Amino acid sequence: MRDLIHHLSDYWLEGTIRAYDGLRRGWSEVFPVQEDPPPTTPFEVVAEHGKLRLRYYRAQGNPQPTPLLLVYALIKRPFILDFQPERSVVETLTRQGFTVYLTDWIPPTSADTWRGFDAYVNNDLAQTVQFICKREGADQVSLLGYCLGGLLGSIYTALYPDTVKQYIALALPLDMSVRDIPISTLVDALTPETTALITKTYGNCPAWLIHADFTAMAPVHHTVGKYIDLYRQKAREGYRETFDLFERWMHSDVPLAGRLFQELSDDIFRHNRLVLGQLHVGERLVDLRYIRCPVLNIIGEYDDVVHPNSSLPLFDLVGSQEKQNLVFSAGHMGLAVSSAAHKKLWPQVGRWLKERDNTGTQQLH
Amino acid sequence: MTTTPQRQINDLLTLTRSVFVDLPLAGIQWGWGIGPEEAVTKTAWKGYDAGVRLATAAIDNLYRLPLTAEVLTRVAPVLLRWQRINNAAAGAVFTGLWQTVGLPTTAEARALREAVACLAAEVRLQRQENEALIGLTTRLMQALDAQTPVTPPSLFNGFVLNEQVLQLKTKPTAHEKGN
Repeated sequence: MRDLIHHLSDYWLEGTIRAYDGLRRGWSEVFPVQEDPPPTTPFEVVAEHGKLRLRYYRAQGNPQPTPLLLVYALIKRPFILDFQPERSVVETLTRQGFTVYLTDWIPPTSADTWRGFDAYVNNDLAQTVQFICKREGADQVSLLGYCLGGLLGSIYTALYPDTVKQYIALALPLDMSVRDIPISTLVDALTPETTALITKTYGNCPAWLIHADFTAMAPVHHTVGKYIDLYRQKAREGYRETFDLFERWMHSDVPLAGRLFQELSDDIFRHNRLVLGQLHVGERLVDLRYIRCPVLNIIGEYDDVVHPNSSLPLFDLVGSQEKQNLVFSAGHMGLAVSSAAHKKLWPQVGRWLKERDNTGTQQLH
Repeated sequence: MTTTPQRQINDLLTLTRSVFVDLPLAGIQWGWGIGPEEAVTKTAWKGYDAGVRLATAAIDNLYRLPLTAEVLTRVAPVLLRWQRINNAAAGAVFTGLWQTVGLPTTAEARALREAVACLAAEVRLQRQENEALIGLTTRLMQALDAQTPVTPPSLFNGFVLNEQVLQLKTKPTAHEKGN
């Protein structure tokens, strides 16, 4: 018991320091991206369009003909996709011969409150895909969107279907009528008046508010449980390093541009307009039926951030002839960082991409 | 994930039994030397796990209550309005103070940052143009070398000849040497 109390006090102290660091970074007018941990896979920044800094990861061995663009979410920093050796999505994919590009979203400042879906999709993403195609001498890219990045990826693919050869959605928050996750029942409390007040008060949705939302999803775990688990697993090799890095990521929240926050809250979360086919981005209506390329919809069976039932409807909404749901036994973050995912899921993803890239024929497993 | 009411009742029973029965019993046995310490630890963790599940389920049920959403709907705008008033008041007070002590305001820092960003973009563009020019020049030189590998390019003929003449002129003649 003494040992437990001694360790817990250390863990809480470190957790408090991490929390303060996260607050400091989130409150900075210009988010200090240079404080990100060192990358696992070497990369080169090859372009910058709007609020998107594009990272290029070279393929190992003979590269696949179609480059792969990973569209990361607009919250938290993207190093979760390049987490650790043997637990890095980027590393696993480059090892399989894919030329990988990753969206390193530049956190918005107070001058960026006007940015919404139009700016992020029709400007940043569209220009980036054009750039990649030109750079690689390709007509199309393969696209993989993770979480909120999947939402952006789905909207982009529906609006620019000719530029996407294959589309993978990873833990996509699509159907907001699903309220299986308890905190999602509080979405109705986020009235248009409240979201407007948030943007009037803060400009952008502040990072601390996003962090508070994530903490509120599992408050017992985030305040006590994870430290007790750390104590119980302290003999397990590598657990502490993984825990520290994961916590570093959990406290890497960035602000969300004001207009995007309002569009997400009102159009997506409250009115579910994307699923209902009523979402306008810029002046164009987003119709998921225009997604006609092969689609792989990866879902975490134990995802408690994006409920599986929220992701499943993508299968019925896209116009693709070839589409597949792939449910994997992992949680939301486990899909990207668990060793089981890198042993089983990501090799399967690589095979799926290669089969359609090399032969152009459509095969279902 | 969602826990069913049956599961919550089981957890409550497990927690109660661990705290009031199993743990004291295991503790006494360990104290008297007739039971291992591991039994106490195992019982404690069993109770803890049940307690965590129970606490999580209680919070989830709280979120699902309509009253919670109602309270949040009413309280959030009030808090945000107060925040706006405080921000405005603090801005008014501190803007004057910042100028007095010589610190830049947010607007000034933002303007400076934007100016630096513009300069950086300009430098980047110029660097790209330079690289393109260097590449073009290199290709031109290579093409010229490939066309006339032995004799100097005609463009420079005049210059080379002049150099040769210069060298001839600087060499002393036999007469000048006194031969």
